[in-house]
Amino acid sequence: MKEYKADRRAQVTIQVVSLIGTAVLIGLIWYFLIFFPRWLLWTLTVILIAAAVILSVFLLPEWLRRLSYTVSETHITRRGGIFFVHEQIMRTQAIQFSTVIRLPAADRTGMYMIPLHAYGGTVLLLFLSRQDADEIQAFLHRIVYRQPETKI
Amino acid sequence: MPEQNSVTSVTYHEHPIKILRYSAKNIWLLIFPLLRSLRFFPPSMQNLIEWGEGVWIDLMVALLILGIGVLRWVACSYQFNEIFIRARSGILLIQEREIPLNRITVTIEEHPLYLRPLQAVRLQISTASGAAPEENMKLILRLEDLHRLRRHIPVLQNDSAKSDSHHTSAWRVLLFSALFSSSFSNAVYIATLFVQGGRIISGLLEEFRAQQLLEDAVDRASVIFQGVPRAAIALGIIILVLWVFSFFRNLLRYGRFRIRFGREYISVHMGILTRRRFHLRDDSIVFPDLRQNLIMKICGMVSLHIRCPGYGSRRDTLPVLMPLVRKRSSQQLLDKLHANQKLGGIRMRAASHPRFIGSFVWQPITGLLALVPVRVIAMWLFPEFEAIIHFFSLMLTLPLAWLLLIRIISLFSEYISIDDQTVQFHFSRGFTFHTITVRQERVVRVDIIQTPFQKKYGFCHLYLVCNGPRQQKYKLTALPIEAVREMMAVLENGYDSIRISG
Repeated sequence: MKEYKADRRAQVTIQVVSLIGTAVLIGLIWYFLIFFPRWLLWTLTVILIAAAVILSVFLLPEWLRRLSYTVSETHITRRGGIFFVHEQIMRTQAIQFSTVIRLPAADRTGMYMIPLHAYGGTVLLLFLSRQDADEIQAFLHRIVYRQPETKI
Repeated sequence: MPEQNSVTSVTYHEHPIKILRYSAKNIWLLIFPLLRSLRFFPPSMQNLIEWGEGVWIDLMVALLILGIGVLRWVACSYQFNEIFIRARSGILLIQEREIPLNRITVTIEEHPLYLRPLQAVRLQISTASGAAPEENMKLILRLEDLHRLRRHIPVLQNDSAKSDSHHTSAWRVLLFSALFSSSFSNAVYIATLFVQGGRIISGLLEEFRAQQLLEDAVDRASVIFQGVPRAAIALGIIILVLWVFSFFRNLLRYGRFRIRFGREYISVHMGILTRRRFHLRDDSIVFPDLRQNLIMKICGMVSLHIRCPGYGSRRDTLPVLMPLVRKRSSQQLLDKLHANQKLGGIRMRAASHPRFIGSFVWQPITGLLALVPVRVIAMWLFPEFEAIIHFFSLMLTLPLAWLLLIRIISLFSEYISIDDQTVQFHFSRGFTFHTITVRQERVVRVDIIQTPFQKKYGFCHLYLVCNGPRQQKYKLTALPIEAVREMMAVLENGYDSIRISG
């Protein structure tokens, strides 16, 4: 059994992306909605900045800190959630296939994702480092892919 | 050209015809040459010369579209070894999908007419995951690569030496196509075509003068069916044409039907223009479903369908394993699917009670009763359309009366029975009768619902949900609650629970 955590570099990546996204959105508001009263534009700007700060400085780090995956020969468990704790458990032998999704520059940004597809359900392993993703894939090869399926 | 890589599997690219599909996704870029051309409207010699001077821009756009297609084709590849098949797609956002060979439940080879001269074949691979879409991997391969893949994927092997083959005769396929063709489904299909094809289709209809043809046909039919309103004849012709269209579509799809039972795998070959080969792992079949409509029931014929992830999952395809077979011969086929129709050993049975006839017939009866006031109101509002209203009410009465007949037969034939391994239930849904035989462990959910009236007399409705890609409920109407509860106890704990408590 091994526990994996979300890659911390993913946090920096999402923070940078949300910062750029907020700046672009504010720019677009000031460019296209210039006919709105000034006080409304400033209010929108403050709301967007506040939302970006709350999401990327407080909520995102906490959410990523709590996000964990336990991979064992019998079960794969995903735990997460800030206010409501969410736990998904999947029988390892029920896995039918998997996909590795890699965003550009994933090696440096921790943007590896692995959806695991089992009978009627999917468990999504998000924001993994390359090393962790490779390890999970190797585990699947060793434990799941080479074993005959347990019949249901 | 295959390339060797570190995981002892060989990397292949799909058939180059896939470049066209990838390029088609960027066809919207043609908007730029189109916008440029609009500047030179209306056409004149001077405008044509000026347009010709800038034609290199249009060529660049066309090259860009094709270039992106080529780049995507190069970036997309697949590899396989003894353990898995892996497909890689995407240029910036890369997706690598890996399917273990021992998890493949169904593969579909499609040989469409237009791909055959190019030695290309479409391959779809499904597992029991139930992920949408059900085809978990779709590839267009060179034929030689498919043969190479066949050596690795057991389910793709034909196993012809040790297999038992069944052909469906041409007249049975014809009869099956006739019985399972529907004007309604085809009307929906054609309507979709209209919405998707838009102006092209309406242009084609104009070209073929469809309206004129219909009017001519109505004129000729009016001479024969004197006294029948023209609108009714037109509608009848449209329904007939749609049905014929559906019939031929089914005939082309299910023609040359052949099934082969191997040791562990079943192969189904069908199709006249597009040849399809389905390869199924026989233990992935959740259950067989014997379907009959009323005519087939009277003639003692059945159509053998199956529930299997990936098989017959498309909206326009039926999960049929044997189009038409005599009911008494179906047992031989069911034995091959390890589904015995005759339950043995300890056996429990519950059947619907005729006292609850209302639960069966309320829908068609309500429909028939509602027709009377609807007809009166329609006649009062539109007296000038009396003939058409009369025709429509007659057209609606026929299917409702047919449904009423089916429901009455269902009242006397619906049952559920179990032995120590299997559950068998017979019921009707819409205009079709179903007999499903499923292993007990594959019944994943059971719902029991009682109306106040049923509660008083000790009866219930039973809903069964079986293991499979899509959750489908099967309803059994008005069964005795005592018998149902005993059966549910057996499903939960096995027969020992009954023996101990008894």
